Amino acid sequence: MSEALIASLNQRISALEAEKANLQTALKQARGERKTAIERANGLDAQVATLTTERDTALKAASAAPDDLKKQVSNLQGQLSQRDHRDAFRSAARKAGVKESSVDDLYNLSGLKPGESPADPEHFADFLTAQKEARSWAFDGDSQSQGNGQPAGNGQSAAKIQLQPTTAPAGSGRGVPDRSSSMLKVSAANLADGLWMQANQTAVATASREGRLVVE
Amino acid sequence: MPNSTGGIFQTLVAAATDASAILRFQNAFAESIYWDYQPINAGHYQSLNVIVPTVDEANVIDAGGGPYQPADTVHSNFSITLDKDFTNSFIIRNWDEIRSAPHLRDAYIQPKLEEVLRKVNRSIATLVTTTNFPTYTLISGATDDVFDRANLATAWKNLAGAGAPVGDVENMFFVTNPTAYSGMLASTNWIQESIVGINAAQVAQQNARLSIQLGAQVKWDQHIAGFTANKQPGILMHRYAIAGVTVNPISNAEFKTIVFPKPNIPVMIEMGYSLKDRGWVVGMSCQWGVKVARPELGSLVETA
Repeated sequence: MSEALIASLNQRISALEAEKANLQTALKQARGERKTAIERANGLDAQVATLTTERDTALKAASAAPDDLKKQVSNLQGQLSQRDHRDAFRSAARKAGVKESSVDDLYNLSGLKPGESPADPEHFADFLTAQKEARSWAFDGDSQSQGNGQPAGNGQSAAKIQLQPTTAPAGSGRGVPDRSSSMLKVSAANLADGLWMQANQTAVATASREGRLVVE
Repeated sequence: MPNSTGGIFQTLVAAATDASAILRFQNAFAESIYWDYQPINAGHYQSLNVIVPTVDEANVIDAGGGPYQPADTVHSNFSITLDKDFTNSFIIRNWDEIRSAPHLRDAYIQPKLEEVLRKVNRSIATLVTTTNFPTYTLISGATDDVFDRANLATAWKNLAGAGAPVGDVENMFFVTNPTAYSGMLASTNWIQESIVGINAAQVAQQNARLSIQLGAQVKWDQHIAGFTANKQPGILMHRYAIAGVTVNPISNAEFKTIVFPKPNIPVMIEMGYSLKDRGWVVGMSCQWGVKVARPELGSLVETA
């Protein structure tokens, strides 16, 4: 083999070794990049899952919220309507001379409800006019109801009746009051019955002290 | 003019019921044991079964979805002999002299009822001995004639360790004699505000009454006897430690009534004219029996 050929082959070997080293470096780099890419992909998968959950939650909340708000709005509207209706009634009642303390009672008695009748004071005028006769106790100037808050019979104003006492006042010289209804009558069988006595001993003792005990 | 018999009896009933409500003597044990009043007539020395409520975890069976496995009895049954018939009687020769109920009550009925109850209490107190309560070692205090808080705490530990319901204040008692009680009334351990609180301190000073300590009502009793000579006794007990049974005493008298000087302790009061004695005989009787039912619910202590 000629020297030239040997030199050529050595040169070729050196070139191949250099190429091999380059390839190994490139391979190592490629592996590292692949690993990084895989880790990144995994991280992104987790983020996607989290975001998907958050998105679904947000979608649910977004779709549910209007209903809740609607309910709340409806509720508040109802309260406002009720208040306006009652205020209108109160205004009309004042004009008609209804006592302040009777306004709520009359409103409840009217059976009028917001939504079924407009919140307009004029609307209540007919009802209140009728009540002046039917429920005069609710209006100023009714003598029977003054002081006790109770309606007069048949809605008519009546003169105050002076009730006569049904019993004689104490110490009026009519003797000892009749206590017969409060006497404690005890039979001999009761007195000899242990269970009965245990339950009623205090009552018997009290009655005897007060002079109300009768042994039969 | 003499009273009619009915009138006399009514006066007696009035005096007896009134007197029962105002007894004044100290009878701590009569108030601190379990009484089973059986409203029956029973013969003397007859044995009666008394159920003292018991909590036994062993009664609970894990059925595992199977049927119930009932036991014949679920409570402790104690046989107590009706061996005591305490009577107290007297003759009233001229009824007119004491015809008012208050006088009859004050002069005769109340003192006689006190006597009966005192004797009942003394009989119960004699049961409090080291022989009858052998479950725990007698706790000896370190101070003459007064208990320390540690003494009661040790007794508490005994009962709590045995599973006694020591939180049951209504039914937990520490009973000692007047000497030790007075020692406690003079000991800062039991009356000082910083230890027992202002209310307890006030009651102790003003009324000579110790408030609840370690979950027990503190009482004194003249009848409890010492376990050792020259040492003052005491017992921390649950109500169920001692059980008593009472019945309606037998009587054929025409005029009779039953009063209760203490809950579940009936005393028959009967009266009749006796030709032999030439006066009205008034008799009281209390028929009862008592027994140490559950000695593990009592822990004895004594001072130095």
